[in-house]
Amino acid sequence: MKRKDFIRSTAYSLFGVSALGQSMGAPIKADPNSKVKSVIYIYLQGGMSHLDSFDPKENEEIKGTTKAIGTNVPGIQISEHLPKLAEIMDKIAIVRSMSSTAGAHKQGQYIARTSYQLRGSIIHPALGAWAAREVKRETELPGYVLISGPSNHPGAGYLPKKFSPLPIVDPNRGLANAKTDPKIDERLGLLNSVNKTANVKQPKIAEYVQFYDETLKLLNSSELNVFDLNKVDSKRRNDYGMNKIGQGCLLAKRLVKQGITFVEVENGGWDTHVNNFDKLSQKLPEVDTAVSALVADLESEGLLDSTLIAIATEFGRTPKINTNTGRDHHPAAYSSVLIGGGIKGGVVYGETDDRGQKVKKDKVTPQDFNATIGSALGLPMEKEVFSPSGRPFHIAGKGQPIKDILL
Amino acid sequence: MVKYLCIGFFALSTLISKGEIPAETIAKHANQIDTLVAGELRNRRLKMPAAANDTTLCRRLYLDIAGRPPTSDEIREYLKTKDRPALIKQLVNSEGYVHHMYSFWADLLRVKRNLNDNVGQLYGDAYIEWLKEQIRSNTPYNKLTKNLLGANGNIWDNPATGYLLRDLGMPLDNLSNTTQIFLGIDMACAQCHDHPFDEWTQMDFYKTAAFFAQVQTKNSQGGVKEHIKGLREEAKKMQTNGKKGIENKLNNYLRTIYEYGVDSKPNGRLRLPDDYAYRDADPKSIVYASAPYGTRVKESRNKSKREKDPHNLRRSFVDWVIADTNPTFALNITNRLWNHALGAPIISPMNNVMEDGEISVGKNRRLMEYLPKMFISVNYDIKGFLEIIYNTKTYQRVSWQGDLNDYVFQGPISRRLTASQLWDSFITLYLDNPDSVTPNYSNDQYKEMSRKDISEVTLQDAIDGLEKFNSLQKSTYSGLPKMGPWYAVRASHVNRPSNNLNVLIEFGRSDRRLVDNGSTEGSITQLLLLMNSPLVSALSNRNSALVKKIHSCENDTTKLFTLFYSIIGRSPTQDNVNTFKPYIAKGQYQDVIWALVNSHEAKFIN
Repeated sequence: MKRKDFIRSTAYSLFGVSALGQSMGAPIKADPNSKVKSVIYIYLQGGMSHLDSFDPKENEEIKGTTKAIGTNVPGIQISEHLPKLAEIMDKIAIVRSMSSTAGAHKQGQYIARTSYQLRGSIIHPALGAWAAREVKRETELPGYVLISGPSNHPGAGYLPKKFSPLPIVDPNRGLANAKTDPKIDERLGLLNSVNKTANVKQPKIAEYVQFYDETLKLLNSSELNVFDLNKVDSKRRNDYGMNKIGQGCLLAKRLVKQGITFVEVENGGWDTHVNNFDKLSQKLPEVDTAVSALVADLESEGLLDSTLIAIATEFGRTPKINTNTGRDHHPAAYSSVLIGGGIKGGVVYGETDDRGQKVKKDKVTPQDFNATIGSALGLPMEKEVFSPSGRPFHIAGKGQPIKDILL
Repeated sequence: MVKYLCIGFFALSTLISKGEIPAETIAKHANQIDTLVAGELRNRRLKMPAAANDTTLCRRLYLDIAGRPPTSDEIREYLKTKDRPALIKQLVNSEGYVHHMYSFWADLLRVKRNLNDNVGQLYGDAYIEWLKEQIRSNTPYNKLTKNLLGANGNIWDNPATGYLLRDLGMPLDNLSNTTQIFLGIDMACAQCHDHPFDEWTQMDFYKTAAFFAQVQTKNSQGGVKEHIKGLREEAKKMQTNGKKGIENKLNNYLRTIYEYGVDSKPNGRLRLPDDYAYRDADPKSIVYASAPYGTRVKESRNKSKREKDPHNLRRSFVDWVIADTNPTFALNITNRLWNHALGAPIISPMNNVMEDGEISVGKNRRLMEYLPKMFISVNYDIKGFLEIIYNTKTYQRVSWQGDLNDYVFQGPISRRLTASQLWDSFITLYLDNPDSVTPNYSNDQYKEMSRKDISEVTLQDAIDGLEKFNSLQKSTYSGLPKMGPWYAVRASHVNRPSNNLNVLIEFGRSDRRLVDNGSTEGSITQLLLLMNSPLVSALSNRNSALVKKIHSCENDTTKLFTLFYSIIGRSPTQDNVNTFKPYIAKGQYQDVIWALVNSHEAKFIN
């Protein structure tokens, strides 16, 4: 195809949206028969130590003060900081053979979120943006919500902005600016008077007319309540833990129940170069409480089979304990976790050596991990998609789903 | 393989000395542009629209040139004389012009305070302020380009090195951006394989990139790296509580102050990638530089010459880029500046003005031939070039609100304010003179710190330096006025993650990770912000300049006019007067401000 033909085939548009939509080819759709309807993707920023969480070791030199405990699945041990998850190990699949090529945070996080390497000339979409684009949903709410996300999150990447995540800065405060002034109706009367002279046929103004309608609809909608954790009784809130990840998971559950496809809960503080053991003895129990409460809650609502929970991070930590009682970056081997919809429970996939240094068996890349999530959700992982600049991509890059842990 | 359309640049040696372009030259060029636009309209049998009225034009000029709407006083002042050339002259020489053009350049060059996406901490502060100074002093574009692409030294001494440091560690990405930014040539696909549209081969890309093979984006003078490493090791040994883990922070700080810069390494070489798949060369073989089109510029194969003057290779590329004879250098920037003023480029997409090895025809071929020549004839004077465009009848017509397929510059396009313009319009309401507030930048102090010889820096010096650095960073915004939860500073001062930045990003300001990555698309969260955030209440509180002004108005009619002028730049209609009068009478200004801020007119330039 000649460039001029390519350009001609995309309507001339200065304003992006329509031209972008067309150059992306016909919309491709997720498998409507997939049992999994939603994903709760928990991302631990900084690199969670695999050795002190899901892949504990016996070696004295390596384990530090972390002890391993048994689980409800004979033969599988995890860290003592995760006792509640140990009791529901039969629902959990641990991938112990994760391995990435990126040893720095920005690059590692970018690959984990997008399945592509960080470049200076393109931004790839995060997995949630693909889910928002491909999966049909019943709710008026957006398909992708990002809780406590960082400012450098790739979001929709080269996809149209409408697939960007709806940001929730703090789960305790819910959707920002959602409280309307009681005089709204009077004010709208004034606004109508001013807008009488505006040319609503101007296409961009017409779009804003529509956005105002949608915003007012949202503000009047009962769906808005799902963002408000003050509506939840305090016992339930305490079950998840009164901290960011706990409340983030609780909000995620409410959003998934409402029909939102992809909820990403981000959590910082995992870069434990200093005082690794003290820090993790606080952080890991938070995850333990939040995720076990989430699993129980989804199960009691009958949503666990249709909701996939993922715990991801950019890399693991070094077996060697540094002079600051910390552990440094270790992309060669680390762990990630999948629970619930579409996933076999009580499974450990892959294996590291007895130091936790290298992957011994069944290496899994971040792309493979994303392909597994996408595949469970029924996303068209094989389909080639073109960016607006005409470059070909796949949703999870070259990743292949881990068949052994998919139901 | 690439033939190019020689668009016949005539030699223009009429050197105009430094300073402004004479009024008659401006008028002559403006007239010629109008003639060329009219010609195209005639060819297509399209109607020539009417001129815009004075209030519309006043608001448009302020937004387009100073990046913010006029205050009610400024509108009244203009309506007294209606002297358009004088207003244009005043605005291009205002500080507002610097703010607004900074957005243009920062979006194009991807300038951020945390400059690099790969390393933890590389402060762009010096580069940002340097760039603003270039805009203020109106550095000719060819010289500006030469400074950016050819810079050497430490970033505090020569902030123009920021351009190459922006992509430290990713020189190929940098090159792929460079050809788009300065030449309007998109070779990005050829970075990994031959271009799918047969224009550029991967070899073309590598040969161009090879001009930068000797570039080193680290200051290697005086063993900086070794000294920093030594101090880091020393810091690691400190086990006193509270200082644990300080070595990483120290390392970042020392690198920020001493290490980042551009230099040339004599033996630097570029090789083809491992997976190079074409028959013209072997994978991993050395690539010799040569220019992809235009005048053939090639690397000398003389090794000793190459190593003796390692800056020479890059210099030869820069000279090739900025030559009057380069077919796309002036064309690219004039196309971009035209888009900046009118809202649409002549050739689209701006990042790729060539098609099948020829310059694209675009929306008006003769105009696109004329503008680069005109730009060269005024010695690459950016401000002068824009002044000419703003003085055209073309720019001063009613805005185009119709189908873009029928658009051949009948007037500027009706468009949403950019995030920066929108933010700056709120700041203008709040402060009245938005250019009066400047953060405390401490570049001189950082520069002073970088002066100290690294070999004499002790661990204690480094710890003290880090502390000082952190406190300077923290004090950047301290003491500045606040508008609700936000600092009341212009968008060009908002450069790091902060509340302000979130608002700007919500309205689509470029995250400056990619060239021109801004957006003016709407969203629900934008409107939630305009309707329900503390913005309207801040604009309506007693610290707001707008509210103070209303209180000083003599009667309700003046109050209403002041509110309409300030927020949407026009007087109220009879219907508006009837609807709003009771609210003014009862002093319910917040409701009025809410309605005006949420109106379509407040978000659009017409």
